[in-house]
Amino acid sequence: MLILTRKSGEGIRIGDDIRVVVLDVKGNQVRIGIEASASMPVHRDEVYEKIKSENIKASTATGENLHRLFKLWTEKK
Amino acid sequence: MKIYTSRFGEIDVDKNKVINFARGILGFPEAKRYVVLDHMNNPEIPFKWLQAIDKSDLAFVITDPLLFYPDYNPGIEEKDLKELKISDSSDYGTIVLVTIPHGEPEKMTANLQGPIVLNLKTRDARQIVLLDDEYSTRYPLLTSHIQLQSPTVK
Repeated sequence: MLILTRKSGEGIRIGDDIRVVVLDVKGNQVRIGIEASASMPVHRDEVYEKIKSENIKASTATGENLHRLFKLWTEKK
Repeated sequence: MKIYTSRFGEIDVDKNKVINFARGILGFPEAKRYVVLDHMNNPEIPFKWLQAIDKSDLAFVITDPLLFYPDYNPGIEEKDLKELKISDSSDYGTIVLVTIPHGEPEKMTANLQGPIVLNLKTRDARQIVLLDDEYSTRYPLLTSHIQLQSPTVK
């Protein structure tokens, strides 16, 4: 991992299209500004990982699972 | 066109019904093309399959979030709508992936924080990651109405 030291107000360029700026540092919290093209997805790390792992779990459904589920669903109604 | 799937065997897919995920679904970047299949060929069942065309064993259970959560209103960002070339709210639909724990279907959940937005005209789709935590990645579907009615005990 590339490690750079930056002060509040200083930034980093990633390629030609992405700019990351340290806006504010308070205690153990850092506010970061990101400028990137609209098509570049930007996510908080933990949210990205949470959705990815939920997707992986969701991909293991079987027809039998869904069938039992559908039965439960119709009984509830 | 004919495709092979591990769950449903060989099936015939209408080319015009193919859904394109330019970026894939998070965790599965290699699968870009999907098709929606009815469960047991019954269009009345509110749970459907999102079957990958290029990866025979990859399929997700999907549903319409509004069936379980009528007020579900994810704030889709302008840039995401733009990338999908959506200019009007009637141009797109929102679906969510369902997780069914093995042997415990009553504990099924829907991923409301990572909905899939589909341009109904071009059939381009994208999984959106909602920035705030207002919606859960594991929203319980079968007990949801009970939870909504009872006050949260803290």
